[in-house]
Amino acid sequence: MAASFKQKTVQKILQMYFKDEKTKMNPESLALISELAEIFIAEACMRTAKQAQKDGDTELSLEQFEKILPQLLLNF
Amino acid sequence: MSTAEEFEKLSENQRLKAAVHHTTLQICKEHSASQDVQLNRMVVASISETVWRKFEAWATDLELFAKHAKRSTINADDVKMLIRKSPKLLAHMNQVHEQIVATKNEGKKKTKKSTAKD
Repeated sequence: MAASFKQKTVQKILQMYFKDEKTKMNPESLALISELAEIFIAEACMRTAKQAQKDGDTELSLEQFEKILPQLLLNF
Repeated sequence: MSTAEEFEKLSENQRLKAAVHHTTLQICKEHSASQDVQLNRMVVASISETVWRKFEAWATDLELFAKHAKRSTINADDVKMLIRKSPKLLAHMNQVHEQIVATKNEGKKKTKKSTAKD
């Protein structure tokens, strides 16, 4: 898997939502959260694709994404 | 906050969202190829938006976990607590973590050897 998040990007995004300005991420946790996000996207894509195959479609649709979204959010 | 500062903050926000969308598209492209389905721009945009909201939720939780342990720096254990309800995911993350620690220790050993030779 080649596509991945840049550490700096993830750090900046999370920093935006920290309530305390003293809160920081250590490098390991940054790497793990990036991995988590990448898996999340892969799962979202794969589950939508599986749903599309079930429905007999060759192109992904919002309807299929919406079908798999609840379980996806519960798993992460 | 002046309008100029507000505008700058908005651009940074947009830049970060664009970066997330870019990586989301790359990952989706890799996976759609192996599954023989065509991507849809709106679906990719929705996934991207969902990841963004996840980042927000994770940030809040991680900060809370660290604070609960009386730390201001978030560590690997905090991240693992996020996914405690998914055993397979947790197992995978533990593996990834071990790899990270192993690479880190290899780096330390190399620097120790070089200082010993001197």
